[in-house]
Amino acid sequence: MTDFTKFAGPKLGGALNKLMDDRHSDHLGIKMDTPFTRVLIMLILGAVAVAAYRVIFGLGASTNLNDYWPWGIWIAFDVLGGVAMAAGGFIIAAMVYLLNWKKYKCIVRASILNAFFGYLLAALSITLDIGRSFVIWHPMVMWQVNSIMFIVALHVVAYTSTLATESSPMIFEKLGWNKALGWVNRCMVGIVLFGVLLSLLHQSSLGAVYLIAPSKLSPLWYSKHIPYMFLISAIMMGLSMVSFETILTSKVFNHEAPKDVLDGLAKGVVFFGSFYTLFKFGHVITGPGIGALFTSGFLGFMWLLEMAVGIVIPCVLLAKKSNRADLNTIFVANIMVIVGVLLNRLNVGVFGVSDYANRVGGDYFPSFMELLLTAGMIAFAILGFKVCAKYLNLFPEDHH
Amino acid sequence: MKPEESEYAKQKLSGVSRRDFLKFCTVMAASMGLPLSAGAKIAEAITAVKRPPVIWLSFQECTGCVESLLRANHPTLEHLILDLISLDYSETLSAAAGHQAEAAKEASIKENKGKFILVVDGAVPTKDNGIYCKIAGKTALQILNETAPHAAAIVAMGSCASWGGVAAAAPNPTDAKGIPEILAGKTVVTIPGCPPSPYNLLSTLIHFLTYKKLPELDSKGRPKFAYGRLIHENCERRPHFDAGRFATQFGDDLHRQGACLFKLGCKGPETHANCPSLLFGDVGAGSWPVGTGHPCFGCTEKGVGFSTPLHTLANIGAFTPPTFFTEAFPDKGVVPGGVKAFAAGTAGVVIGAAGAAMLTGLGKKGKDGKDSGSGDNDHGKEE
Repeated sequence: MTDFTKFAGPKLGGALNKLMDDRHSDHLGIKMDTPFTRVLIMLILGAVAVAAYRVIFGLGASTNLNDYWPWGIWIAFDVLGGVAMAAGGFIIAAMVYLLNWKKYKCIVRASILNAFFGYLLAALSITLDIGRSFVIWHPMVMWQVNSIMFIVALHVVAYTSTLATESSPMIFEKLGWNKALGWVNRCMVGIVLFGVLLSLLHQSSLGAVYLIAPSKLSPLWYSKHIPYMFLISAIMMGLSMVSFETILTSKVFNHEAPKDVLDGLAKGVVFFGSFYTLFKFGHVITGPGIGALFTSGFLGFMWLLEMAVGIVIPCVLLAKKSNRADLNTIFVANIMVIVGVLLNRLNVGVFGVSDYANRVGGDYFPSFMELLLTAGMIAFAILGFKVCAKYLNLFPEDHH
Repeated sequence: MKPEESEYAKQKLSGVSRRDFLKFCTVMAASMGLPLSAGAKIAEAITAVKRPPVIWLSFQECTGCVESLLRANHPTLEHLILDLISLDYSETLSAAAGHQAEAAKEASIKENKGKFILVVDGAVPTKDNGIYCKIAGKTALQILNETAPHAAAIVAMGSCASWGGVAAAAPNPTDAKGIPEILAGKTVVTIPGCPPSPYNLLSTLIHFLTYKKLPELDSKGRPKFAYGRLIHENCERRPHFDAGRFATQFGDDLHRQGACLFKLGCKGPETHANCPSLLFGDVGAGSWPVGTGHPCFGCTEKGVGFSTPLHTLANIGAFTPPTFFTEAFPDKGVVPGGVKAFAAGTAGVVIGAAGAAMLTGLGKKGKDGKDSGSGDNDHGKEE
């Protein structure tokens, strides 16, 4: 390993040495220089170039958005989807720090870190998606308390900071800053409480953004309960994401998946998924009617696909006890929930408004740059997670 | 107002009450976008004892601009030429004729050197030394070059004087040019239009009389108060444009209902003028070309009027026409191509991912179940 004291002086170099010390994760066998990592770096560089192009030449030049279709995949996928994927952070934190369910302690760090990356990406995407990126800080000082957008902005900032604080013990541990570690640990319950509060508000307020668009959003998705739908689907997604991640890390790193934890998470998915299914069907029956699923063209198909892939099939799979004991089945169900809820966000954000946008002549297919930026964001999250797994003590249970 | 001046005004404006007179001054101020206090200044300026001399030259023109001025009624023509200005030379309005008229012009120029206002309507032919327009044996070019150096201000009235207008339209047989081109280097106020609203000229003149300087001009010499905005911006049919309701043929349903004339070739989106707000002839609402159902011809804009065909679509600089301009309220049963492809692609990815996961993951159940089972035991031991 390189000795940083040679380059950066004894103090900074020492801290860097401590940070770059990866002996504790040797058993995970994480190799940084792999073809996959190189692809990730290429994607990140591409995304950086796109972001620079977007900042210099504007939204019109870099995206296929226009006045008739102002929100594309950066909002629907990166922000709505990214934030939903990050829901695992607050659920696991609540289970461990508030409810004291000790068996989940081994995944709490990974899920909070994952949430942190999710929010970071959402924040970056929002910054690039608004017309004037450089005044993104305005809502912090110019409060418009009647706007849902203000709530969203405040939550993103507050919760990203909260997640950073919740993740900070890993770094303090590494650096041996015991005083700071002590402080954070003492405040942890308060911080987590705050984070849970923010998350419940924020996950639902992203849905509440659509409350003002009854004429735009297709009735298949528009409902006065859409904030709760967003919250519940985000909880499902969060649980699946954490479970997916745990299994994935166990597959690619030399790291054992804790089966009882996964079983618990799967039960959670079934519990919330069943409720969500009833909620969604209840909405369709009392709202546009079941027939609308078959008369609204491709939208009805998208609704059915989202429900089948994201909710019904995984819930049926995981409802059986023997299936929950099988890692592969859980893994498959997790993938389906994640893909399905992401599809839900795309449906609400992009496809659900197509009827309205079509009426005024709008059309949308994400531009190459929009896709590249999104891909780069995902790559950044994966690479960031990998780096953190290598250099930080992400799976504390393996260490004892 | 000083007492002797108001005495003079009373004498001159017999029949006009003080109240009416001040009202007129305030209206003039308002039409130029000046503060109300300017009304008092205007009153002072135009009741000054000596009326400012104006020499009006007409070259390659149709007299439309003068005709337009005759139709002004606040002030009326007689009020204008008898009370406000001293119109010392005008071919159309002079009582004198022939040598007498020319002599009056010479005398006025001599007497008012550097003080008179020169108004020109019509273009100046320059081909063959300008022989295609002659007055009293002199070419228009000669007359202009003799008169202009002594003027306090030069105003080019109408499109022909502003840049050549119809006289300079292709193929421009006489090589006609506008006044600013001939008098390059001098400040020439242009009041383009075919004809322009007389009030744009009157307001400019009165501004000059009141403040002893010209109103703010744009790069083409047009007063900004009159030509600062596009017709499209203040058009009464603009809401139809924004809503996508267009007449597509003269006399079609939407045309009869007063829809936007953009598709009939209206040049409002590229023409700067105050026609929609000032109107013509003081007869009330709708009394301007677009108001009567005819597309704007672009007469006040060089390169538009007399240059582009009437039926061609105008370029919309400030606002790109969206695709929905094809129909007002399209009832398209079909999903647009882009989002259709995007939806199909997304659905494909979702089905592919879910299907692949189910096929590969669930297929391996038996074998991997055992492996992960042993993993579970190990984990249990650790705890």
